[in-house]
Amino acid sequence: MLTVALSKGRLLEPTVDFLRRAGIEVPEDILSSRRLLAPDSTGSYKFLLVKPTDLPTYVEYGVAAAGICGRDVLLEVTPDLHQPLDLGFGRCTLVLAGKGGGRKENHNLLSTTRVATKYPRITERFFRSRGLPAEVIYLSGSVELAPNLGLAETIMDLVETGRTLRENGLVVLEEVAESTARVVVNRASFHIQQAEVQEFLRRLRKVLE
Amino acid sequence: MIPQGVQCYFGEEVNRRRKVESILAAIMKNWGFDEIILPFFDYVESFSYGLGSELGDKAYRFLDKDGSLLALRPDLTTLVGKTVATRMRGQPLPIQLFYSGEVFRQERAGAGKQKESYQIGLELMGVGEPHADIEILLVAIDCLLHLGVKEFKIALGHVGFFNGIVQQLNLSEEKAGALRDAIDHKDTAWLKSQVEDLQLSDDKKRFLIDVPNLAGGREILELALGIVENPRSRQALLDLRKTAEVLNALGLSDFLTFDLAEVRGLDYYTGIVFKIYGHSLGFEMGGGGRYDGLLGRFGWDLPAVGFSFTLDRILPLLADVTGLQVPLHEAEPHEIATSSGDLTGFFRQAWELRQQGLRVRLGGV
Repeated sequence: MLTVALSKGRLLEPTVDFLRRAGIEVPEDILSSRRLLAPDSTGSYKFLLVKPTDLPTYVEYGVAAAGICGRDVLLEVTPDLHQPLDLGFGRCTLVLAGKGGGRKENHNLLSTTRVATKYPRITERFFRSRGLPAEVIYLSGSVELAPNLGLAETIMDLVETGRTLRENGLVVLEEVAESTARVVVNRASFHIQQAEVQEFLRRLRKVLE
Repeated sequence: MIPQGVQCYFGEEVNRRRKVESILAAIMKNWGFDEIILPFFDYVESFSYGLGSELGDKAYRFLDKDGSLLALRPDLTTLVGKTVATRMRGQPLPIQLFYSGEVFRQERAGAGKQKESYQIGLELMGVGEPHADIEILLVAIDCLLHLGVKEFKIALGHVGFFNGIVQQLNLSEEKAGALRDAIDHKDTAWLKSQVEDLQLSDDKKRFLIDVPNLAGGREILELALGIVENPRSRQALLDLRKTAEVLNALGLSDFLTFDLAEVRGLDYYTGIVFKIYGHSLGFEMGGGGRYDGLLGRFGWDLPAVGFSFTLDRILPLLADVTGLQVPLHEAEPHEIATSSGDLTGFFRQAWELRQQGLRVRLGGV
């Protein structure tokens, strides 16, 4: 039996859809979050429902052999995992955003900037690679409020349609990375459960073809 | 308050660790290896070759009174190589040594990584491929079987396979590094974007993108041999095939799996590379490879291959160790010349003698 971790939240529904097309049924109890750990009806898979940012940890420790999570999470957590498949759905862009008014052109000129984000490590790396000193403020939610409240000049956040940004009077200053749903596999499980892992990947690949 | 990642053991845990350590030491002795006790620190530059920037950066560094920069050992193989090349030069070959002790690395603790970890390993120097490669894989298997570990896989690759491709394509170091990272993470999406702009036929591109999937049984070696043309990659594949044949003949092929995307490891590796994985353990419990350039750096150019187990990662796989026997050994080992007979015949003979509990070592080359 292969233990597969799934991300709660925005990716859950499209993930379950995708798995269904691959002939893998995620039990209703998982979908409704009534249970966080449940086998499928065939007994081939066991699903584990976890917070997106925790998912790489479960897979890295081998508690789950594989998982499906956004690339944004992988860029932030930088786990030591195999990433064999890009499933293509859940497309989002990680952007640096701020209030409008001419900043778009010259955000590089700010001497020290404060950035609010759910992605402190990506943000830190981004500013340091540009040679810009930045104060990174970690928030676990409602990041888009920060510029209007004066907490930070800019935010680094994941954007799907851009509506939330517009509603808060923010504009995209720079697109930093693209994110889609990725399959991750534990390095040991890849070999120890080789046949099961390959079968899982084969089913998913078939949907992509 | 204690610093993050330090280790301390007492009570029953100590007995357990010492027992496992003494079993591994006894097996290594029976395979003809002698123990070496190594220094805890050395000059930083002794470690800098081969460890590469990644591990080099992880060393704990400090200044000696005279201002020279020292490092707590982040690796034991380098110290064995240095000692052999400087102190044992001219001794009859092969030189076979085993060691145990702590290594220190500034790691983010977690996922099996500790700042201080205890390794038990061995190095076989002065014998080339494929004899020595097969020999150390067999020691590793024998060690785990003695400890009662039944479910494990050795994922075997060869850096020559990837390096041959890079060499043939004449890639820049940066490009080769990006490809290596993508292959190492089996990240086909990224690999695809890296391969797109290469001057290659579509067939070759498809093959390169497929390298992360070249993992499994012997059939993947045949598959790769049907496609790659450069001599270096082909030689690597042929060496792996010989290894597969011998392990197959000894009935040990269940423990071996091939992974041509096994391209990482320390910078000093030049030939086979492998990691040893156990059931229900999320990370490798040991690993090793061939490092033919390392000893030359210290003045005696010898081919060398070795591996180590990380004790803290083997222990969770073992239930009760009190019933395990520490193998006995005779004072003088039986020598079998590697030149005698064919490869499979040689290893079959040696394996059978060892299964009878005899101490056997590789004869001169």
